[in-house]
Amino acid sequence: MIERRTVMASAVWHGLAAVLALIAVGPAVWLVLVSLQPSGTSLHSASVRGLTLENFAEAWKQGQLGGPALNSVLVTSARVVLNVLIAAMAAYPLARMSFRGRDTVFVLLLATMMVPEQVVLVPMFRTVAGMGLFDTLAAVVLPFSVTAFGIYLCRQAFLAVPTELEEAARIDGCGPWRTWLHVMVPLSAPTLATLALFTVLGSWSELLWPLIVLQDREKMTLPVAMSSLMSGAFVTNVRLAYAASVIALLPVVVVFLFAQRFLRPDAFGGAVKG
Amino acid sequence: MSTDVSQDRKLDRRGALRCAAALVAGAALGGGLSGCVGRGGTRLTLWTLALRPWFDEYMRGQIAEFEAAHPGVVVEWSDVPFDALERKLIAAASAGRAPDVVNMSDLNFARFASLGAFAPLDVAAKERYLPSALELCQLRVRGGGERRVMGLPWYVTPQVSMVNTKLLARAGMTAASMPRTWMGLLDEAGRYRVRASERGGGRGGGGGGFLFSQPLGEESQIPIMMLGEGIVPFSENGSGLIAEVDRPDVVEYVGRWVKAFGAGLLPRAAGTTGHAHLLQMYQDGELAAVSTGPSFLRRIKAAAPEVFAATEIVPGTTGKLGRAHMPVMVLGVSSKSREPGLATALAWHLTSPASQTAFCRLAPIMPSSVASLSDPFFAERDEGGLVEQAKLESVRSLRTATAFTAALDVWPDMRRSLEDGMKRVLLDGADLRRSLEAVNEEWRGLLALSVRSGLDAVPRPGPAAGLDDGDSGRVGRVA
Amino acid sequence: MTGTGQQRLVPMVFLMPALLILGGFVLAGFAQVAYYSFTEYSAFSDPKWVGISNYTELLGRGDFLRCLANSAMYLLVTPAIVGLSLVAAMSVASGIRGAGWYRVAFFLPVVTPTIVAALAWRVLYDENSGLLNAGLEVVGIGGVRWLSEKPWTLVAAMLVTVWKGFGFYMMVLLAALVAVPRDLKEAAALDGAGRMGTFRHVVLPSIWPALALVGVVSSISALKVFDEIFVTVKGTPITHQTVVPLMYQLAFERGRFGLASAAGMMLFAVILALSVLNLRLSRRGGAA
Repeated sequence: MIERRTVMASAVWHGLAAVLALIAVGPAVWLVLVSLQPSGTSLHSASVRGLTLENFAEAWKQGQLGGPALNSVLVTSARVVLNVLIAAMAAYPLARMSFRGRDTVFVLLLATMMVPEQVVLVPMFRTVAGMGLFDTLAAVVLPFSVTAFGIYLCRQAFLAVPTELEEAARIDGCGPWRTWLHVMVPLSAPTLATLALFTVLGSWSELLWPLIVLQDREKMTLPVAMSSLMSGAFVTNVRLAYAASVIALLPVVVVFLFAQRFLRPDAFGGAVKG
Repeated sequence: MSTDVSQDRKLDRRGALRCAAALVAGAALGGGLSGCVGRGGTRLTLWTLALRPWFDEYMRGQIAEFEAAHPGVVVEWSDVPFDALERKLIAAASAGRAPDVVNMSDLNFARFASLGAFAPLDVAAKERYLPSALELCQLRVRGGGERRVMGLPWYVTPQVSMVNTKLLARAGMTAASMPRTWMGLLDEAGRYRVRASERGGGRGGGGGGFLFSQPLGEESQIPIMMLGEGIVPFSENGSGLIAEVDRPDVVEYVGRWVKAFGAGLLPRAAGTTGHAHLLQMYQDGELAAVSTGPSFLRRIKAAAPEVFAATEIVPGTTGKLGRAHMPVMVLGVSSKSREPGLATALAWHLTSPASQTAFCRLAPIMPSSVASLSDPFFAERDEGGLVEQAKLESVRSLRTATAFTAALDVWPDMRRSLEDGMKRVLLDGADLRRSLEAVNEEWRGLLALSVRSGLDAVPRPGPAAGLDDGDSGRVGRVA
Repeated sequence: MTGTGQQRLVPMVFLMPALLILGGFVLAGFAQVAYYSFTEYSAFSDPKWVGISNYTELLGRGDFLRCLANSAMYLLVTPAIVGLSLVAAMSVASGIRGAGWYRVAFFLPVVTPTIVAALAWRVLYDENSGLLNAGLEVVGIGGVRWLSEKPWTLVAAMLVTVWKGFGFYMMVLLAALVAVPRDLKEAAALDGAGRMGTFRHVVLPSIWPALALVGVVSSISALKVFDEIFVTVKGTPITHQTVVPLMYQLAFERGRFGLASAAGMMLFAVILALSVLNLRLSRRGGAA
């Protein structure tokens, strides 16, 4: 896809990209810088004198971030698996089968994306508590184990799969499950990987829902533990708060760097065809 | 072909079964993960505010004592971060899972009580607790005339003042020469700015920062300071309280703060940020004096050692009445509790003199129980160390400190209405008199909806007498 | 595959988990919100039916109307996001060296948890010593009162939203840009169309559906925004904030869950309208 450009056009694009990249990366870099500065430094200085890792160690130790980090990993992994599975399953009939009420179902599912979160959390909590899942990690995972956005993505990807391949599978004697498993899913792998990545992003730093659902300190996820620290132990030691934030940020960045090979343009499949 | 079709059907069924199995397993797992449901015996849930992890041992000890005294009862303790309490409590209550005993700050207590969160307590509280602390726990409920005890006061944190002697020296002042009242500080603030910038140095805001600050907009301290000045923005007639926050003397008092803010004698953060900015700026060496609870001393020691080294403790800044403000932590029993008697007993136990004294040994807090104060731990001692100084100062000010929080169910809404009004004046440049008139209108509307109250719900102590004098103001011996 | 039994069973089996979860949690929750919007409910006592008085009260409340206006102003992030993400996507697609690195950089804000971002920006916005004002002073403009003055607090939150979002939408537009048929572009070049011409007549119509998608999704997010306002510009009076923070305040601080639910329903109606708009927009104007 590389097109030949004049040197000037290249320079213009480079310039724009560089400026945008600076703005994009700036605050995060700032955060990391502040976390590395020794504790005497003013929070507003940009000095690079005496950089140290002690803030991270302190934040980890004082904040006892190990347990919450583990819980976050558990919750996020469960969500990723469930999201990809359930959305891919649901997208198949919506993309490829015709049955009565199909469009109504699709619209209903999409409507869930438009519901404002803050107020719907309380009724959802009632439902969860009524199911006996009060103060469990399962309660954190379950209501968000599939999203309309995920279904939408998968459906778009499935729509882009050539029907000939499906026909071929049918002729070979595959039923719906085998077709799904052996044709639809593999061909939408980039989209599914993208969905997985987005699920990780959304789930890892989620604060409000685990805050409301969980009580036992052993079950806290990382954002909840950090919120508690922000208004508790770290309220005057903001530097430790920043260090803790960087620690919370790190795993997601790592996952992203690893997964971004999958973010090839075609990962969005037919989404851009409207 | 046909075998394939039937195979497909089998696959479908298997697929469906698999799904169902997964969901059932998930639910079972979830149920299992929910930890031990109390097997036999009664369960009480207790929520505290921001006590973990430092006071884990203490709380567990207290809970163990209680459980030993009440065999068959298990207390499940959960700690909640400050800003999460409202959300969690409301969500829990709507799902029927409100905790039996919940710890709350005095600011939120009356509001939640008015929403029906708490049950009135039938206990002999009057002799047990500091009168001022107990006053704000006594509220009128709807449909009932008398003020009833709706919660028990737990620990209190009378405010002391910390000063940065180095910054003061730059302006030619000393800890001893610092004004002791808010108005005095306001008068001095201008001179401080001039002198400090003459001697040069300091960044941010120009010239060594500010003399002091108080939250005026967000978490506005103006109602507290007003009451501490003896200015009561209410009056009363036959049918109850009347709002008078637009009275000339109130306008004049607030006006002095507004003028100081507009003249740049206070940082802009005083308009937009709450307590957080006081500590942060003091730590950064941009405030010469800060009035707060002594617990933050330990944190400043860790986070800004040079500032800590230059810090001295002086008696907390007061209004004209000479009484420091005293935030109170309250324990309430849920109105939906299935074991109200036991829950009350738990709250009673946690606030007992012995419990509170033990707590005070661990934290720079003061007890709300009168009997605790006779423990030798609180007696004056002549040891050095800043933290020790702060403790002694707290004990000293406890004698005259007052919880300047009104026992009104709509008080937090009134405070919020005043906060919004203050923000309009300070940040948007609105006219003060007109803003206060608008606030007064809102207050009138709130009072119309609220439970009928009288002036007795508003703290109106007299001026603090000297320690030798003993008896003055509406509170008893400890005033 | 014919046969009525199969016809309904198979799709249902595939859809069941999603239907159970979304229906049982989100839709059921939404139904409850709809119910509560007609009640007065404080969570500590039973809901009391009050008919449409919540709705009429909201429409008469100064703070609600102000927040609605602010929400409308917040929609201005959409053109900013569309513009920035288009520029970013085009720069990456233009084949410059290191495009991959730029892509990673652009996506970093998306990956940053909102709380973390809000914290970092709050420090940058600090009126006395924040870097932003320091930079502005260097350029000669006086410092701006990001965290306290009326239009600027909203702008501050909007900047965070744009910053956080543009990388995500850039990926969507990148996919669309890459999908523009090469031959069309070459044909246009051969016909003598300059770069601008190619852009206007070939590229733009091709990516139109994607642009519309970005526009509408970012608008919906703009209406639902909460964290940026609640954390970054915390402390501003409610008249500086938008509808969702108001809902939060009504529900959790004033104990008026019914009123908050009514506000939520009205917000939902607006979002629904916007989504219908998306459908129309993306059908129209697409050359593909």
